[in-house]
Amino acid sequence: MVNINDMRSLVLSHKILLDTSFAMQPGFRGFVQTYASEFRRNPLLVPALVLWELRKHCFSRDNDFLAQRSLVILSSMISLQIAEVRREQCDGFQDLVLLRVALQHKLAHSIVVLTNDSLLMRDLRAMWNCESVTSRKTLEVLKLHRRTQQLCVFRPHSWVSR
Amino acid sequence: MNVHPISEVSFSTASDLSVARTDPQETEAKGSPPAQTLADITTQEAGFQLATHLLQTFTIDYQTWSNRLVSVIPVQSWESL
Repeated sequence: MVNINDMRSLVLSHKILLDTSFAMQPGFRGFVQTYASEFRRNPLLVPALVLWELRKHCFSRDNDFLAQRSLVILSSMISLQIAEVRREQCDGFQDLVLLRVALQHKLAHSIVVLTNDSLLMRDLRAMWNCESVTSRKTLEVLKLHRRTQQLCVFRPHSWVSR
Repeated sequence: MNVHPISEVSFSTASDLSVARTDPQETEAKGSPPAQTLADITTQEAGFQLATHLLQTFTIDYQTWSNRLVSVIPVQSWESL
């Protein structure tokens, strides 16, 4: 589990990127509530594709409640200027956007990716640890625990930190 | 994608969000200090209006939808991170 004070520092010192899978968690509202003050100083970065995907979920039978709630929360955050929407013309697939943006800014910014997608987490960590381009900046991948909805570090069980 | 009319989407009024507040599935982080009241975040009228707008309009495809999104809210490029 991530210590709240540690996370407050992370939010202020890193670029925070949101994935749809994280926004769809029941604990997303609590997460936003807890770190709202920090997001006022360093807004949450929301790919336009996340809004699009939530929008699609709103019309599905399975995830409509959480998607609707998350869309309202993100819309409120955007209105309050504690979240910023980002896009490029070439954006088309959400996981690819996060991988590309993390790689694009690897030398300039430390980054936190909020995702509950294990495949994306593995690809992000592999990309960040590629040997041809090394960086003193750091990448953190965080998720909301499936059962407790507590914020925790998301890493493979076999992960060895470099 | 099946697009339902907005009347079938259930969060267009603030009262619907009160259901969200009592969602039994949600587990809040214990000991989390309330940095800002929940009402400040989730019951912004502007948030409801924007969310409704995002659902009501641009039902074509992602590129068209996101191109039009810039006329509704500020959208920045990733390069200026």
